Amino acid sequence: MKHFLAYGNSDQAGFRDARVRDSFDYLTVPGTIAAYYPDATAAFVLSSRLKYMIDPRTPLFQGAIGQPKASHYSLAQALGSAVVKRMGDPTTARAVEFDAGLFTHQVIDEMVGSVVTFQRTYGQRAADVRGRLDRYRGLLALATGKVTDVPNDGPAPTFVLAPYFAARSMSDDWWHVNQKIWAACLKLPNPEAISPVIAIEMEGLDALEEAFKRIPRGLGQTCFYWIAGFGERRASPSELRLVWDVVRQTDARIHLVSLYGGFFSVCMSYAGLWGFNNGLGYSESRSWPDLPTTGAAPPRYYVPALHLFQPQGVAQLLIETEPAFACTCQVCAKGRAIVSLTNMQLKAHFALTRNAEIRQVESQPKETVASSLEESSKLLEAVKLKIPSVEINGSYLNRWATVLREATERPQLQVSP
Amino acid sequence: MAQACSGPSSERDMVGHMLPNIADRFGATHLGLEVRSHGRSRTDVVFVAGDEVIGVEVKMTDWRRAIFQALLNRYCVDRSYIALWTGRVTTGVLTEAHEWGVGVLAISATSIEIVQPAPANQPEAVLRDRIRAALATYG
Repeated sequence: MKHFLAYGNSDQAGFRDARVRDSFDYLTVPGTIAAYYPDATAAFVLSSRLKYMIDPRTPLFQGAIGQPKASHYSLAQALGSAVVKRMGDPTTARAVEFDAGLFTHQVIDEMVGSVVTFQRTYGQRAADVRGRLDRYRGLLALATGKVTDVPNDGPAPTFVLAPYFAARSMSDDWWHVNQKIWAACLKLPNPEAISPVIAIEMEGLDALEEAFKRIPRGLGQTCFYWIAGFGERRASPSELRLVWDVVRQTDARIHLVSLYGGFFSVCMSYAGLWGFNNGLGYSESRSWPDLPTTGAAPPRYYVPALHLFQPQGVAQLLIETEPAFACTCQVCAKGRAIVSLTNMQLKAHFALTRNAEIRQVESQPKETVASSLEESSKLLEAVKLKIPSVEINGSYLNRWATVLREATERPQLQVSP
Repeated sequence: MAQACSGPSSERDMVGHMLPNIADRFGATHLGLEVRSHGRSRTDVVFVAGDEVIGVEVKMTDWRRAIFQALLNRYCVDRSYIALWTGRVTTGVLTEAHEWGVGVLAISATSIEIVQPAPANQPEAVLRDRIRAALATYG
């Protein structure tokens, strides 16, 4: 399974840490950050020598924007003149509304061309940011002990994502906008190298299967999806099973990548999920229209046995009360108290643990993983009886276990001799 | 009815009653309110008494929650207390607080009583020192 790790503006040092760098496959760069800090982000990404992609974050321009941020105006520049015009003058920022009607064929052609070109030419920005890039190269060399070279024609993103908008159903006007976006992508050179993105609102979950079926064959075979408001820990067994079955039944030649996921997404590799994305200690789910809400992740400790972030003090108390919850990663094995871990150490611990989760699922049958979840649930309930007022709802552990036991795996593709 | 005879109206009110008496009761020097303690957590009242850093979680009613927070404070202060309004300190509170190594203060309009002294903790030095440094700026 491929792990995509999203870059946050406060994560630069984290992504220079060799433990983090070796723990994932692709760096995801939010379009907002790429547009708002254009030179610093390009210099950091291109000097990192990491495989990367840029999430265009186009749902930011869907519906009402009550209080536009500076990053809205920056990202709008990459989406074409109609979006820029609708945003208005940034010096007199005011509420703005993006309705599906704005996105005519002409507007979409311009937006798609602009968004795709922004990504396809991103590597060429190396020449424009050479000074900063060399500074970041130096910092990376200090952190890793390896000096890297970056040509002026730097690495392009591994995946180029089409613009996308969240839809409630196949009859939603925004779904039709998405279809027009795909049609516009097909008119560009090398459409097979453009990945479609499907964004379905939680209330339209039943439409997910049909949505996957409508992915045009001529576009890239790596397809990203986002179920807005779908939280793995909140979801009912029937909702989890629905997503599982849709992924399992999707044409195995299409590589599906969930844009927001946690440990249940790791388990979805049994269903055939090819990859999933999350932040370095955050963003395992995302609601819409809450997308404009951003900010640095709070310092939290990821408790591996519970697959859950907790405040550091609570995590330490949990582990002192139940030593079976203790982590053995490189960060934790040194006997450091969880409460004294720095933000960097918390991030490194998370990256190492997430990687270990992926390796666990790759190496064990799903029934074994289900048993581990059930055992953790029992231990947690016992801990809750011991500690006064600890407020952790671990019911998701048994829900995940139930789905893992009952759901069917996708058969492995037979490779012709 | 005089304010002194009735209970506090809020936790802030309780803290207001505590503050004038902390110096006398503990010999407190530097004192801070809502002091960052561990992670994003903040401790209601923290002060220095002698060589020790003391943390206090103040609660109107939810004493179990107070004990839980005081329990976490043990990772960063030398002694950890909960503070309840005087009539709310029951045997049940004292038993559970004792079990978790947390002291209990009873607050009234005019005094602080150490109902159950807090045992000494072994806080993480880095956190304790950070709090101590922060308190030094409070005066």
